[in-house]
Amino acid sequence: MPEHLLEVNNLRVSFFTHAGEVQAVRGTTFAIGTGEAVALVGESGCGKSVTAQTIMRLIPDPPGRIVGGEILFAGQDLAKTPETVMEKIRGNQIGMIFQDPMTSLNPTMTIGRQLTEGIMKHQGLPRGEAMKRAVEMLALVGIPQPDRRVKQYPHEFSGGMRQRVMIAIALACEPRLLIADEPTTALDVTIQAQIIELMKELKERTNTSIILITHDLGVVAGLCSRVLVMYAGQIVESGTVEEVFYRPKHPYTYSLLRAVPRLDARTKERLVSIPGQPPDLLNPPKGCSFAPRCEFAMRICRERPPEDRTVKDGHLVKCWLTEPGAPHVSLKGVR
Amino acid sequence: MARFFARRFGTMLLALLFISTFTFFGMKVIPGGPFDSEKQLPPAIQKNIEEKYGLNDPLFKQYTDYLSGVVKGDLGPSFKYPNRTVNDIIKESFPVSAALGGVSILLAVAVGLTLGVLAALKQNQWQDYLAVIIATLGFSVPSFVLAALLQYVFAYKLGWVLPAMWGTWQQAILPSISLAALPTATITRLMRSNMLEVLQEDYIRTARAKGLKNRVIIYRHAIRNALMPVVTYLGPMVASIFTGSFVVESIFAIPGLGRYFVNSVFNRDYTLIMGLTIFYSIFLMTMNLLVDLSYAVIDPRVKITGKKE
Amino acid sequence: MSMLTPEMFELVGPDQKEAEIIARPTTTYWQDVWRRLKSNKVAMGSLIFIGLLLIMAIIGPYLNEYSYSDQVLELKNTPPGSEYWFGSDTLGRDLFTRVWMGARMSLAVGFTIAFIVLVIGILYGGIAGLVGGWVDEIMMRIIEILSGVPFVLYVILLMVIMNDFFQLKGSSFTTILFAMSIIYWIPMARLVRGQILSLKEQDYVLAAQTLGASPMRILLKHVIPNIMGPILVYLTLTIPEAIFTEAWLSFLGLGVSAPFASWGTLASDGAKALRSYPWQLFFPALFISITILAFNLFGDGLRDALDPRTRK
Repeated sequence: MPEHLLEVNNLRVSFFTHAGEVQAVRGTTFAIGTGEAVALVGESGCGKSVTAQTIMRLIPDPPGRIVGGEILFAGQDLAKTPETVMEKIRGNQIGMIFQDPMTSLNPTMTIGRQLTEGIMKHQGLPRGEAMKRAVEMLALVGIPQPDRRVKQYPHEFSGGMRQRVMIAIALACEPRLLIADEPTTALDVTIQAQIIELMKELKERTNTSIILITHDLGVVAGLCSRVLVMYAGQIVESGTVEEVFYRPKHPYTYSLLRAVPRLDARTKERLVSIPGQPPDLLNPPKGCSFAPRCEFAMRICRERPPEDRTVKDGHLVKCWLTEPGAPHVSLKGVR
Repeated sequence: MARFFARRFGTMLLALLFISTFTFFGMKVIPGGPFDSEKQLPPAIQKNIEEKYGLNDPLFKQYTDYLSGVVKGDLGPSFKYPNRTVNDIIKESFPVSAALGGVSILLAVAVGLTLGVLAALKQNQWQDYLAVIIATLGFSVPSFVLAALLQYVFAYKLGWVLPAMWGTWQQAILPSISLAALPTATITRLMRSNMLEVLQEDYIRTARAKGLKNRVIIYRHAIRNALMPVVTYLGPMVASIFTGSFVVESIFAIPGLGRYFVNSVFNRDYTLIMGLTIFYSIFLMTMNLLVDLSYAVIDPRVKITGKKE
Repeated sequence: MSMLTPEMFELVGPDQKEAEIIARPTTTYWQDVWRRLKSNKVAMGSLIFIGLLLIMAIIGPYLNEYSYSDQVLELKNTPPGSEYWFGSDTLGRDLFTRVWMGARMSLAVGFTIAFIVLVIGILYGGIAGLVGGWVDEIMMRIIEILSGVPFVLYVILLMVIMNDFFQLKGSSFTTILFAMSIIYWIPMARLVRGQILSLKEQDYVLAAQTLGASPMRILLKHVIPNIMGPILVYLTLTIPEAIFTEAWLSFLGLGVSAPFASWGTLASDGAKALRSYPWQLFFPALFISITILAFNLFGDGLRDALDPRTRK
């Protein structure tokens, strides 16, 4: 294992609302090595984005607050880093891309200006130099005529082009970690592939670590080597893409994989949706959070939360089925 | 751009034609109106009006003569003031109103923007409550009530200023506060809600993800975007301030256009009412056009075309 | 930690009851609006104030022995006290009675204008929005031309023309209503038209059309209920505006003629005597301001209740 660039240990994030404490992230633990790309997958509302924004410390407080755990980035605990220091890390050491490129750019500011403000701040370059760098970045992310495009406004760009601009902004200061929060969700399918391809290319060129957040399992394999499956604020299964996709050990992962449409599906193979809703994080269930929806739920699952268990080197699962005494159930992977 | 101008000018001209026609025939139907030659008037004025409008001409000719006067910028003689034309009165009193209005606009914009931004940044703290209270009061207390109260407290009770005079800058304080109250309240409310909305926008999160300081994010990203809808209010604001000056100028005895207008209504100085209405219309429509143009300059998304939204 | 026994590993499958979130009891949209409105203390306080005001406008003038027009010249300009609760005016009339008579006039103006605006606005905007095409084009051009000139100028002009045409000393209630309503429907018409146009684009209206619903049914079942919200809010905000404009016109000397009174004419008279008898302005000014405040706050609350998304 390479030296870990980012280590998240038992992170807990809650939102304190009128109704009570919503435990959005409930003890998440994972690590990412330098140059590694990891996917964080799960349904909407499972805590993926909250985890990502917490690493960047972008969660609005109030109502959100880190209630426990640590976020070690290059040895520094970001959970306890003061805002003034965080400003020097954001955009500089860690870059971030968001889901909707149509709303993530300031509509009244030129692309060039939005690119240069980070560069000027973090690298202390004068405006002219920063603008040269901005043009370079636009060229790097594959925007034609970058020297002309820097003077334009976001509304003059297409969705895919805007997401390229977002990537350029995120990577402008050569961060060590790039967090991509559903970067392709709002884009057309053909554009999605281009954006993932671009990220892959840039990762190989710059050795940047990537956390790719998505609910689209299709884009994972193209970019990432490892997958973290998140459910109800916890990582329920993690491992290499191959392990998790081909030999899922958690019923949730299994259901998630069965819910993905495939072009090469054998006849009569049906898409299966996951019945029910994710649990209410105002009062999470006392046992396994997936138990109410799990077709293999056992009595113990309702009683006691499962612990992480290593089923193979680097393949961790949070499920009572992996307990030696549990009945054997067949969870077939995809492909 | 050209189409936009053509359309706007066309609408302006039609609106002017409409208001001119409306005033002309409106005044015509009034018994004892300016065009009623049986009405007893001082001979000098009678002569002026007869000369100007050719009261013995057929009605249609009187109307076209009147319109061509408007087009040439000649609004005719006053009905009550011998030997003064409406143009003379405008020339003399408009600068006063413009100065007062200008100060009020600056005051409203400066105070309103500051309060609105402050309220949004300190949401649900005392600064916010203060701004909301000021905005609500400004919204609810009519300008003439505010003007009278200010006059009562600061002129009669405290004796800090003369109740009614015009000339020194101190004399402009109370009237401009009275005039600025309503627009200040409107701008505060607009700015507060716009800021709250903008601060939730994704691009603000992007700016934070770049590591920009909060202060920079607010000045560079949030305020500019929150300002856009306020610009569209500037047109109605100018109208509100200038029509508001009708009563405020009367209360403080300021020799501006507003007071002339009120006096003309009070004295039934019909030609002056007509002239000033047309002048106000032209002035305010021009201001509206300028505001729309400036909006297009500020917001890169707005492309000026002849098309409707 | 208790021991893990084999029976704890018995498969029991998903828990249907927990898995499917039980739907909340259904409430209609208007029940929801009312519930949200009730929980808004400021809006409810304003509503109660408006209610009290209406009651006082009805019974207020009869609460003491004075009538609104009786002049007791030897008791003129009496300060507020046990004799005259709100003081007396320069002609020795009881201000308490006059303020409530004024409330009648001002509130009547406010509500009547709101009603007229509602009718004309919905008809004009509705026709323009529903018919569309060149009819819409022409109707909107007319609105554009009319609104080139500030409303107040029209109102003043009309008041002058009408008062003089009918040779009235002051104005009558009818002329005030006529002059104000002739132009105040414009924003309402624009609102209705805009709402209808955007509704026409909505998928559920398209869906209804696809299912073969008649235009009338679409109008009644889909369009009207959905534009009621913004219309109600605009109406609530029209009332204080009308009260304000009437007061303002009265201040310019275009108000109702003596011995009748509206808050505006009372304030206008009070302002003339401000230096010596400030209460003569104070009471009408206070009621104008609080009433406008109450309607505005209620309108804000109503808007929040109708569309919780806009709530800040």
